[in-house]
Amino acid sequence: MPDTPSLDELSKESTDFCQTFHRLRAEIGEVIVGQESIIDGVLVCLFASGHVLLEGVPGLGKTMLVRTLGQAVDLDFSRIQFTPDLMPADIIGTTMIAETPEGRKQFVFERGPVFAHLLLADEINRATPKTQSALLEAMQEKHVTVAGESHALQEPFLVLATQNPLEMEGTYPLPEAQLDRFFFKLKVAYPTEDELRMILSRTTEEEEPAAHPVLGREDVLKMRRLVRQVPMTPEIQTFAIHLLLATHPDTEFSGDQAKRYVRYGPSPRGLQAMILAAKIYALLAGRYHVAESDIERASAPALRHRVILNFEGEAEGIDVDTIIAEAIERAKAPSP
Amino acid sequence: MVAPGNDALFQALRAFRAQLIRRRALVAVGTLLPILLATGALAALFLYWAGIPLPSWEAVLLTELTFLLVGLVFHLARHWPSLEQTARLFDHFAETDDRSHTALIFAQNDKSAPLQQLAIHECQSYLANQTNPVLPPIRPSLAWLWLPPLISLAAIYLWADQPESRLPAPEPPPSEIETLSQLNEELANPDSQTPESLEKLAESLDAELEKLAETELSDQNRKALLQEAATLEELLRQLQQAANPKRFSPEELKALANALQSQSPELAESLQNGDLQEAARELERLMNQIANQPDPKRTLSELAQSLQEELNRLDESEKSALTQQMQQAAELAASEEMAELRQKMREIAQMLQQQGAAGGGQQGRPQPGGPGGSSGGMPQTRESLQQMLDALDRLKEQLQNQEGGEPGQNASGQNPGMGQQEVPFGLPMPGMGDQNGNSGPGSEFDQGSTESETGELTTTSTPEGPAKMAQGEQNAGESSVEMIESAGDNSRAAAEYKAVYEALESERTEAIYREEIPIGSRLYLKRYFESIRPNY
Repeated sequence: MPDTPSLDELSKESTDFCQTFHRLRAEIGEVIVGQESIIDGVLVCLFASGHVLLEGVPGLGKTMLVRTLGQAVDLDFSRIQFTPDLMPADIIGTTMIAETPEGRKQFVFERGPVFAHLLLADEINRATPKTQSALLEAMQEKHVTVAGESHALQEPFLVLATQNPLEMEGTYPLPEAQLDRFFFKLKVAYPTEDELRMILSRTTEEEEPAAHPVLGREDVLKMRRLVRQVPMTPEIQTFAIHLLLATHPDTEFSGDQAKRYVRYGPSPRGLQAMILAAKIYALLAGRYHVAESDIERASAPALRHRVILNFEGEAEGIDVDTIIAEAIERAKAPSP
Repeated sequence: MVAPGNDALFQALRAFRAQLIRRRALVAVGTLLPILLATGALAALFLYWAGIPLPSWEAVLLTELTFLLVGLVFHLARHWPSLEQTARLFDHFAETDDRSHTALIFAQNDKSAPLQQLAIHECQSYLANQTNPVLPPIRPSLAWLWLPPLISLAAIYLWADQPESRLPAPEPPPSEIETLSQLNEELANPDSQTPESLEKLAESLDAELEKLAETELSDQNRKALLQEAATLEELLRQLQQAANPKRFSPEELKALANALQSQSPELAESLQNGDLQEAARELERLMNQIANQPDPKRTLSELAQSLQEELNRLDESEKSALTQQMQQAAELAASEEMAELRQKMREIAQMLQQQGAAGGGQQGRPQPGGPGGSSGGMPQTRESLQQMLDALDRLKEQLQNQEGGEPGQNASGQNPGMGQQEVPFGLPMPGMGDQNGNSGPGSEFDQGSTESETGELTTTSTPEGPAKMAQGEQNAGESSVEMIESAGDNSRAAAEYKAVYEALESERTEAIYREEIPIGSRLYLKRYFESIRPNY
């Protein structure tokens, strides 16, 4: 039976979590200019055991962000550039004939780039659905099966996928099932003028900045365990559930926009993502419990890629975030 | 179960709950008070409009207070906050990120996890530095707007059914009613029935009625005045009848004279001479004689027989009230009922006396016909009586006009239907005719529908006379039905385009996402469907 940590230990652990998180963010900020919310979202996914989908035009530093994260947390990092001719074996690996020292030939599993702690799936929507689906098992089950043999992935395992929202030609949009595997979908915004100036000064001068390791693999796993211990009241759970149901088109909590523009609402996996992210936000706020404000903060990145708009919604150009904002208002308890 | 060490939290929450309850009570009073005042005003307006007496202000105040208290209790019972709700409200107003609520929930769990205990400590230390939140300004709830009509109905129902004792005291009777009462008393006194007195009374009545025409009377006084007028009219009619007695026929007088010839020749002579005053005195004298006889049976029998014989000789055309009295006297004589016979004979004597006074009697006691039976006083008396009756008719007409007219009489008294009446608040009332007594909507001649949309009477008259509706039986004639087939229905769409477009939404989406459509071409497909979307 594991020893129950004392209150002081827990308090220190929580304080350490907060400090480590902020230190890690500051370290990444040494390389990445701006994009604080994106960095926060990626770190939340790291500590919540989730995967993140980054959506933004090329050149905004998505790949740089992932590489910097790998440096800062001292984890294995690999990168796959998705192309239409990419095959599943290029991701998960394949069996090859190898000669033993005794001169015998045998099949040996050659690991693919998925066997890393941090995996950058760059321009994931350029690969064919067959190749995309090869990531499904890895992302959800944390292991891959090749030639009838399962190979477990190392913890922590975090997939950071990027996609370009503008290009339509020659792309294969991710199916809903695969989208649902992503913990967060973060929209990478274009840098401001000041940020652009700072990017120039950092990247065009003699010495380019580099991130230094702040924490190791064990620290990450320990922080993940702490996150799951953060308690929440049944009322907060109810609020989160109502919020989720309010994004569906055919529930008693559905708002007008959800009824009109939504085809399918988020799955329960979206609720799990929302709660886990809210717990991290609570710890970052110095609290030991989840509040409604944490749920609200986590709702948009956790649900926006899980809400499937109908044709009318897409034709009208409806932003899913407005539907989520409406759902938050409907889920809130009536004010006195 | 409350974990130890959390008393401060519970105490703080209870204090905040008390603050909330006070605030809610204030909100309830602030909401209910205007509603009740408005409702009271509405109810008073309705009562005024319906002509129902208003209740006393104490009753109104008591009713309003009762409603206020009931509403307050109901509101507080319905919105009494639990500690959990109080904690959530505290967090809401103080923006404490659910700290008080979380601490309360976790504190109620005696087996809380370590991080829950940590959460309680964190929340309590945070809340210790927190003062009670500033609540936003109170606004009355608009959700109670459905109450005024309901309360109005209840108030109207209760006030309309209250007992008479709670109604305000009736108005004192106006002088006109007293005047009519005095007139009634005076006319009932025979001494006041002289022509001079009647003339004075008629003048007095005229003067009073002139004043009455300018007076606005309440319903109660109007009814009392009508009652007095009816009594006075009845008395005047009796006097008028007495002033115009019906003459007996000579045959009747002759028959009476013949019947009493054997008993009193003087009486018979007086009757034959037409001296009815003397005849009346003789008749009384005769009855006294008969009554003084030791054995009047034989006399009575003879009297009955002679009376009956003479009555049998009379034709029907010759009979009047005297015949009837004689018949009754004959029956009483035959049955030897002396006392009743004597009374009947007195009545006959009185009739003779009145006839004598009215029809040229030589002398008599004062009657409406004038003192001393002078025939010269009769026209004056009749004129005074008629003058008073006319005045009473005018009084009735005035009173009915004030009341708004009765069905079948209007202001001009010419046409059936409703008369012109004072309309409450200027609203037309069902059953009212127009000023000319026409049978407008609601009159007794109203057929329930009009020929024009505005309800105007549009019936036209032809040179031959007013147009009449042709008589006939409906559906009695022949008719034919012919079915004409056309292609009109086949050319229309079976369903609206909009409905079809909405019904096929799922298929449309499936087509875009599921079919073998190149990804790059999906955008154009979406634009196509966009272009054929109906305008909403």
